[in-house]
Amino acid sequence: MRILLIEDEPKIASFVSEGFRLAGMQTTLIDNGVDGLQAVLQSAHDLVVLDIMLQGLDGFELLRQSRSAGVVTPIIVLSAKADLPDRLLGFDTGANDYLAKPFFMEELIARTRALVGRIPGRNEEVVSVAGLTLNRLTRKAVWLDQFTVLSQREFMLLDYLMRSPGYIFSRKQILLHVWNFNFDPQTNVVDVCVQRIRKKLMPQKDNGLFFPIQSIRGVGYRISAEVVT
Amino acid sequence: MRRSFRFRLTLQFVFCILLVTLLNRFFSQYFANAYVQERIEIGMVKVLQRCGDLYKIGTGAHECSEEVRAPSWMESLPQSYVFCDEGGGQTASQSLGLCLKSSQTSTVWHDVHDPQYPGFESSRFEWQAQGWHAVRQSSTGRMLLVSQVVMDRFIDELWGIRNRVMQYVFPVIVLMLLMVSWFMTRVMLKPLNNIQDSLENLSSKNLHEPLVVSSDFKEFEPFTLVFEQLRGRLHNSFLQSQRFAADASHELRTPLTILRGHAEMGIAGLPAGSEAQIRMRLMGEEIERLIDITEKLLLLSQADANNIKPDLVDLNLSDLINQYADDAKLYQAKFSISRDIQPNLIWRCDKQLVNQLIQNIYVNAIHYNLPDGWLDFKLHRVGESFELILSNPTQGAVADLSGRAFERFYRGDSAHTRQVDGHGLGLSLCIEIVHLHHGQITLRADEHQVVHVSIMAPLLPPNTWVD
Repeated sequence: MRILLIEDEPKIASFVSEGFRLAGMQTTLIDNGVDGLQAVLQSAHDLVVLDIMLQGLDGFELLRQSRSAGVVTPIIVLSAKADLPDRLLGFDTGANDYLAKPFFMEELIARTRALVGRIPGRNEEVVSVAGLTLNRLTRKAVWLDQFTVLSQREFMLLDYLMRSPGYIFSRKQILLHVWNFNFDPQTNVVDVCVQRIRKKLMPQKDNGLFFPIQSIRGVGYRISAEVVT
Repeated sequence: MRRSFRFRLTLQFVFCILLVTLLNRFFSQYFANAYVQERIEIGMVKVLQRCGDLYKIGTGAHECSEEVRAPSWMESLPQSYVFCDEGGGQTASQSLGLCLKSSQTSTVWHDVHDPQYPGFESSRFEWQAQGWHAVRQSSTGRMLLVSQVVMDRFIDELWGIRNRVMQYVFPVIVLMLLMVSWFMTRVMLKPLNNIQDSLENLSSKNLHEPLVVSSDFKEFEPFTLVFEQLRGRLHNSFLQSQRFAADASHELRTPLTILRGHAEMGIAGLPAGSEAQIRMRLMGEEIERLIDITEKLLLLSQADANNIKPDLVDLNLSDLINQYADDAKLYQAKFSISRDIQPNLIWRCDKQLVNQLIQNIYVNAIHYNLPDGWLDFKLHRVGESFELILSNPTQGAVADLSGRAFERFYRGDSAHTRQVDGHGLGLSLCIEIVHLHHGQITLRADEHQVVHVSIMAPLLPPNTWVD
C-alpha cells in the first residue's frame, strides 16, 4: 500500500512514516502544500495523509483543489484543529476522514486500512489474525476448534486488538476504546474481560499453543501477528 | 434583602417635598399673620371711610357693613369694635376711655400701607391690658378700633378653616406627590434602563458592535462612554481568549502528538516485557495524563471564550445512565446499585461532551465512595427538562464540597489522602458542559456524609422551544 504523507513537522513525519513502514506500507513524504498538491494530482498513491497547517498551500485548499481536479484518492486529514467547525470544513472540502492531533499511530493505521480496504465485494465482516477469526456481524469468535459468541464488551475488546496485530495496547487505551472511559477505574476490569475471552476460546490451558492475546507485564495487551507455539 | 433604589428615591423625594411644605407653612403663617392684620386695617379704613357718617348719626356698624358692602370679615366683628368721632363719642361699645387713650399724643400713628387711602393712619397700643388696632382719618379725627383679641380670634379661625381643608386635601396631595415622584424617578432612571438594556443585549455574538444607548441627555454621555470603553476592552479580551484557545490548541497538540507517537513507537520497538518497555509505558501514561489535562484546559478556555460549538444529536439519556449503572459492578463488586430511571428520555446534546460530563461525575462517585458503598441513580423528566441525581456515600470532610467542588484544580482532602488519580478539572469542566446545554449542576453533601450531584437541563435546546 502506497501512502502519500504531506506533513511539515519532521518529528511527526518520522514516527508516522516508521509506523506505516512497520505496518507494511510504503510512505512518500512531502513537507509543503505546493509540492503536496502536485503529488496528489498525479494520483500515484492509494491514500493521502494530509496535515492542515502547511507551508505554501494549506491543507484545506489542497483538498479543495484536488477534489476540483477530480482526484478520488482517499484523504485522511491530520489536524491540531479538533473543533467541530474545522472537522466539518474538512469533510466539506472532500476529506474521507479527519483525525485530530494528538492521535494514536495505530488508530491512523486502522483508519488507513479501513479506507483503502473498502473494496467492493471484499468481505470485511470477518477478520482473521494468528488463527483467531472474528465475525463482526454475529460476534462469533473461532480459534482452532473452539468457537463462542462474545458479549458486546468482549467483542469490542477482541476486535480492537485484532485491528492492529502485534501492537501493544495499554489498559488505558483499551478502556478508552472499549468502555469509552478516559480514566483508570483502578480495577482489573480489562484483565477480567481478557480472561473471559481466553476461557471461552481455550477451555483447556495446556494444548501446546499460546493463546493469541498476550499480556505484556506492566505494559498492556497485544494480539500476536502469527500463531505462537 | 436588596432595597429598591427607585422606591428609596421616591420616598426621599416625598420627604423633601413634605419638609419644604412644613417649613413653608411655618414661615407663611408668621408672615401671613402680619399680612392679614394689614388687610384688616385696610378693611377698617374702608369702613371708616364709608360708614363714618352713618356711625355719626348713630347707625350700628352691622348695618353699615351691609350698606357699604364692607369686607366679609367685618361681619364677624359686630359689637367688637369701637368708633370714636371728633368729640370722643363712641358707638357699639361703652369705651370712652379707649377713645381718649387713642387720642393722646403718646399714641404713635403711621400712614396705612395702602397708597389708595391717603390721609388714613394706623396704630397699635395697649389699653386696660389689651392690645388694640386703630385706624384714623387725619382730616376728621374719626377712629375705628378693633381689639387684638378679636383680630387674633379671627386669624385663628382663618387658620382653622385652612387646617380643616388640609385634613382632606393632605392625603390627596401626598398621593399625588407619590405618583409624581414615581413618575419622575422613572423618567430619571430611564437613561440608566436604556444603558442596562444595551448591556443586557451584549453577548459574544455582538461584542464587536458599538453600544447603542438611546439617551439624548448629555449628563449620561460619560456613562455611555465608560461602558463603550468597557465593551471595547471586553471585545479585545474575548478575541485574545479565542485566539489563545486556537493557538494553544495547535502549539500544544503538535508536541503532544510527537511525544505520544515516539513513545508508542518506542514501546513497540522494545523487547516485550522488558524493563525499558515498562518504563516507556509509564512515560507514555504520563504523556496521556498530560494530553488529558491539556484537552480539558483547552476546553475550559474555549468555554471561557464562549467558543464551543456543540455537535447536537438526539441521545437516549436513559440508556446511557442505565449502561453506567450496569457497569458500576465491574469497577467495584461490593457496590450496591440502585436506580430509578425513567425510560426513553431523549436529550438533544453534544454526545461527546455529555459522555464526558456523566463520566466525570460517575468517576467521582466511584473514587470517593466507601469500599463497600453504594451508588444511586435517579433520572426523571421535569416538565420540558430532565433531572439526573447521582448519590454516593463518602468519607472525610465534605463541609466545603458544595462551595468549592467546581473550582478549577480543586481536589478534596480525601483525594490526596486516598491518592485518587485526577487533576481537579473534571467538575469545573462539568459545569461548563452543563451551562453549554442551558442547564444547572449542583453538588450537595448531606448530614449523613452522602454526596448528591444533580444535573437539570432542558431536553431540547431553548432555540428549538415552541412558544
